[in-house]
Amino acid sequence: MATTTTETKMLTLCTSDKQQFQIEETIALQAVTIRNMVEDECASNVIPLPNVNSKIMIQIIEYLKKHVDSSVSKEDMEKFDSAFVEKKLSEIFDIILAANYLNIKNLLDICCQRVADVMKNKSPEWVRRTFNIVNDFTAEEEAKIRKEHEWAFEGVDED
Amino acid sequence: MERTVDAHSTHAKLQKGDNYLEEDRISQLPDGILITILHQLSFLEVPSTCVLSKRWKYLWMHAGDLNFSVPKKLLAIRKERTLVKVEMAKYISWVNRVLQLLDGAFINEFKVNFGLDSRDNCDIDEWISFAFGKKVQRLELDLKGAGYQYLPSHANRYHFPHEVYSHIRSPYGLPCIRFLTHLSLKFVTVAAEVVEHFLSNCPLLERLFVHGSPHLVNLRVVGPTLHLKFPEISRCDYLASLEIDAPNLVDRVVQEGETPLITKIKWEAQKLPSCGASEGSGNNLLSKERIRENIRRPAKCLHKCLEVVDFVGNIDIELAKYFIENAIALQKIIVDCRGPLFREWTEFKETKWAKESRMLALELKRELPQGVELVIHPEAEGIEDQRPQLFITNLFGISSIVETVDERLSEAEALIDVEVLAPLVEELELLQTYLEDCRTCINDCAVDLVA
Repeated sequence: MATTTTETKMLTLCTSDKQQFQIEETIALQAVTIRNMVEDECASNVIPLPNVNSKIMIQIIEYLKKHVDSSVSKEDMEKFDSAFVEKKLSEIFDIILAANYLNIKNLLDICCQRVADVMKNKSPEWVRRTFNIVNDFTAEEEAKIRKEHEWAFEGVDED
Repeated sequence: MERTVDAHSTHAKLQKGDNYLEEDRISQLPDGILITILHQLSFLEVPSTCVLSKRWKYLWMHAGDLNFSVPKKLLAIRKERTLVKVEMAKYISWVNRVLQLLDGAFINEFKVNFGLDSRDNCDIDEWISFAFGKKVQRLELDLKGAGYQYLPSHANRYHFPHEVYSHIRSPYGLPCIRFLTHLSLKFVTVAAEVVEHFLSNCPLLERLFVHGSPHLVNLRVVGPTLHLKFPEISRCDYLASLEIDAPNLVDRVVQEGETPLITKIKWEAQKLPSCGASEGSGNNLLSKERIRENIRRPAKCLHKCLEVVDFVGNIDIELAKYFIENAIALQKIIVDCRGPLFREWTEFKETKWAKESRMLALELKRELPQGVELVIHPEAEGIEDQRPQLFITNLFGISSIVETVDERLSEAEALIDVEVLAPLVEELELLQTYLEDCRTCINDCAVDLVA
């Protein structure tokens, strides 16, 4: 009993593909959704996360582990963050959805920033191709919108 | 239609490799996340997303910050002056159109940065009313454009609209300004009364920036409930007295007498001609004298809270020493050699004056007491400016005329070319005629008196 104060409390997270992850409570509580579940005591020992698969969970835990460490300098943290988002866009979208569900604001922000960086200064055609967005406007509709926002199309990079 | 999409997809696949997406993942994201993504783009880019697909058509309108800054345009106009009229009209209609389309109940930010003046009154009036109607939090109007002719003269400067002022004083309009946290008016003529109204009725107002308002004469920013943290009043050339005392600026020190409790003073000094004998060409010195007098008025007062003194342009050693002696909390003196007219997006060229200012600052650095830091901007010496320098001294202190000439002169220094110089010379000629007239007038009077 004497050691309980130093003993770290663990939580078990269960992902959509029924994988279980044991992590320290302090790390997991950075996710507001998990914190609310623990605080409301509606979670037993195992917290089910049906919207997150194990592949994404591993990456999110990696992020949370780094961010719980208060000894990391701001600069190093920024370096870590920018390296962390150097992933394929499809993975970024998975992380965005998971971070949104788990309510981890910083993670959501850096991933949204990553997507915005891809779109920055790019023509709509380029954005459509890159994200595979299907243009469902007719040519007339598109021309009309472009005319309304003429200024917005200046200054974009050529394809 | 479909065929082109296919062709594009294959193209993207080849081009993007790893990043290629099998399906349109981004459009499937919830609105909230897409709006977060749009927030990260500059406002100018955001409307271009409306053409992507129907899913995207109205999303941009929720990206609540209206930042109508167009540095690229301003740069282009600076290079090619003939563009001005066309671009000005385009800018105004762009802002008008965006405002027409927006229909949220709130906006966080409304920022206008373009060379507009009193001729565009109606439109700007509408914009300000719109912003207050949407309970704006950060309102910034910077009506100085690029190039010297977009520094509106006092007479042409846009006036803060009377109608809006009456509105925000009425019980109906008063609640609209309650959300304001940041108010910045540059090259907008605004009276002290209006500024004081904002101060006493915007409980959240933290930043106040008034730049280049000739109607600001006596400003009192005093009150126990003021939230204000960062006041900045600059280039208001007729400012005679400025009294700032707000509890949030300071560590609740009990007031003694009239001690101004300013935590940061920013000085915008016009460049001084290098010949030491001259008193300088601008009336900025004059207003600086006035401020200096003001500061000294409560005899031997100690500035308990002043932490930062910022000299923009050139450093006034005497004033700096005064602050070192009397401001007991002083932590930092900043000397920005680039001058008040320097713009972030242009390349800095070191003028003779900037060099001198740097030298003076370095000299002062050696005498600094412990605990006071001196920062010089830019850190390294810039590229030396090889262009010819202009000196105009002894303009008899006729302030309104001197002001315009002076401002144009410093612009002219920044970009010497015939187009700029011609009107300057014209103005000087006018001034000379005016002085001639004065002299004749005085002579006539003298003759009358003798008679």
